[in-house]
Amino acid sequence: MRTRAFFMFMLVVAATLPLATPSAAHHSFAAEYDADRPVSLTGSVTKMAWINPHSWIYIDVKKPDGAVENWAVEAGPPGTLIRAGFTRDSLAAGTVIKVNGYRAKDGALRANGRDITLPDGRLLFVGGSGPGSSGPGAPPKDPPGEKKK
Amino acid sequence: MRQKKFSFVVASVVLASLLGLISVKAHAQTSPATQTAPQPSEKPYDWKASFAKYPTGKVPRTRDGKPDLQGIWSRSILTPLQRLSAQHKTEISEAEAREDEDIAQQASIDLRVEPTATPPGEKTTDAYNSFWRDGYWYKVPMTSLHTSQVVDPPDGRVPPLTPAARERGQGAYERLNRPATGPEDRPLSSRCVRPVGVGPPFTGSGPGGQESTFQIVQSRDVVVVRPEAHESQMIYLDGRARPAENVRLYKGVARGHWEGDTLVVDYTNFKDWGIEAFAAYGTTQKVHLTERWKRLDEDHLLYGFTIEDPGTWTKPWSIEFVMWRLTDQEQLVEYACHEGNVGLEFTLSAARAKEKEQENESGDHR
Repeated sequence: MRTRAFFMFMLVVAATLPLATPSAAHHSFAAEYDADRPVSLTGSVTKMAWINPHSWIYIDVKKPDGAVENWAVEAGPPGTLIRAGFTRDSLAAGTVIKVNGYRAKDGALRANGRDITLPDGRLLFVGGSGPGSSGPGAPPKDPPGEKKK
Repeated sequence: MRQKKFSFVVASVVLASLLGLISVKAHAQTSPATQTAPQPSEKPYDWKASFAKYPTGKVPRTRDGKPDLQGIWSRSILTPLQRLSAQHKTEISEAEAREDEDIAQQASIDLRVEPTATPPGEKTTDAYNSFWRDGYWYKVPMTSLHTSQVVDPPDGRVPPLTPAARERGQGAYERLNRPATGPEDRPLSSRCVRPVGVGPPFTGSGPGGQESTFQIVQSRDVVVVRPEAHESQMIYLDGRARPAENVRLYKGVARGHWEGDTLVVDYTNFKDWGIEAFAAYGTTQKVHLTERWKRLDEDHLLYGFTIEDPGTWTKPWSIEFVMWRLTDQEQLVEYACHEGNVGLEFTLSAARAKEKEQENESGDHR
């Protein structure tokens, strides 16, 4: 049982390695973002672009001096979320979100969004329309619970 | 957590075992053992006998009496491409399959915040967490009890790569991550020429897959396979001639016919590097592919292929796996890869910024 659990776990890890699967190799993280410049942003959503191959979330971030910067945050492809039952209205403008990611190498106000949550730690999208997909792997009615670290 | 650390250490080895898509090095390491082992006398793969073993239910039919393959289908399944090892068991139990589905989803959930592909203490190399991938919001199903999609060779393993293919795969990771000299310096997937998951052929994508769905539209004379990410594959059944041999397409030329209730599709005229599923080392234009499609019941579609390419693998090999139908999705969302592919632009701007930075550092202000 432990061996099987391990290999299932590895299957999930493996799928995220660049070039391990075609899906992970669409484009290169290292060629676009700087692993030495992590950013943590909290801001109000101005829009979400549900576009392929990756979606983009735009947020207004207030700087300590009061000036506002509009950041573009790259996220995953929208297909998975659509399959999970979310719609383009699931993230309303004005929603405040917290983004942990890495800054673009060209210095623009752009970051990849490795981890995007609501400021209280709840998951993005949850709270509006919830998942409602069917199929053999029907999703949980409630958002998946995460183990405490 | 300790399990996770250990996982990263052995990741490359297990990757080779399960996916067989890259890990050219690991192939090189394991192939001598494979080659020196005494070869059991293998019966040739009999796809008809193999397909007949899958239970069938009520199969919808078109007006001309053929099985109706139409619908939106997912190839997001848990069965790995390759068996863990040639000695590993060939099947699991129903209970184990259900348990694996739970384990895989929990693994996706546990990996949401972690830099998923980053060994502890090293820099991240991956952009998105499991939140955006199949397997987080819904369970990826184990649609058969086989321990590999590969059914031939009987050991469930993709045959070793040829030396030429190994050479093509060398440095793939570096090529992907180095500053781009121009758009042509990026992989076909980054340029939306051959986006991910476009087939042919398809392989079952694991729990971390993304573009894992496609639609089939069917008439008497043509079956259209429309992947989520890109252009449609037209499979003509009307007996039309193939184009001349010098006409080469990344997606090949497809001609299909029915053998009983199975649609058999023969592909030729591929271009070098045409097969996206094996983009890590590429295929050659000598590749010959035969696909087989059989609807098992309302919600399941059996898929298989035999592929041979003397420029890539040391012998032909075949897979089978069961796809499942998305019951609540009526059409695919337009992918529009080129239109939204700002990642390519930003990859180039990052490379130019890096050059400028280096120029400034070296005092060269031309």
